[in-house]
Amino acid sequence: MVDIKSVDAANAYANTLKNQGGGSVGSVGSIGSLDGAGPDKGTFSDMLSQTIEGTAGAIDKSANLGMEAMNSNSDLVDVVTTVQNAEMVLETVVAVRDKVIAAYNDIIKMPI
Amino acid sequence: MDLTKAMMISASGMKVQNVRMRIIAENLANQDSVATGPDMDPYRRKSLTFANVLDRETGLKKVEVKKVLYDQAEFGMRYDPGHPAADETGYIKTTNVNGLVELMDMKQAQRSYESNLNAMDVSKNIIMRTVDLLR
Repeated sequence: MVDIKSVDAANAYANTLKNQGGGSVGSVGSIGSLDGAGPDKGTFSDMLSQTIEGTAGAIDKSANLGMEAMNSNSDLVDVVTTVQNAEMVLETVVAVRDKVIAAYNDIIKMPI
Repeated sequence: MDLTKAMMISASGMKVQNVRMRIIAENLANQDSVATGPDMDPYRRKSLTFANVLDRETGLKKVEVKKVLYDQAEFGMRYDPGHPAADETGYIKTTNVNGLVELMDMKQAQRSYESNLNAMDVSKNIIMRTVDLLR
């Protein structure tokens, strides 16, 4: 049986939130600095790379299963479930990333 | 997440119906397999039972094939004295597979598979619609 819980989309989302550090949602410090030199341990680039890593894991899994299916070693239902899960994780991560980048851009464009 | 768990349960339901369909295909393919000798038995119809199994890792109650059983119904008899497998009275044993029963079983497997497929589709749609809120 395929286990899709480790690459769960909600987990990826929760991780991104956790990695933003202890700052409140409204504070700019919670986003961290781009280069990782900021006071918070979770930086924006860390968060991005971690979410992308998680997505890559899910997609990798589905690709591996697809290859196995071509060698007729794996169940069709497993392939479909894994690919669907990878798709859902990717969609979630892309949506969250777009939102975060939009927020970041808004802050950059702020007149000083 | 509950919705991904729901999808895993639907997947287990679909797998079980796959096995069921395999057994039905086996029965239908062997519908005309008669005995090979006067004291031999022909193909015996197979059937299967399902069981509710707890997946300890995820805590989900999934469905699995419990047992593949042999149908204990009487074999059919056909008068065919020229057949090499016929006994001294001229009868040969035929299988206890009934095409109509298999047909109904097949329809049921198809409907069951479809309902699991639809449940999976709905779970996925709910997740996707929720993610769309971020856009």
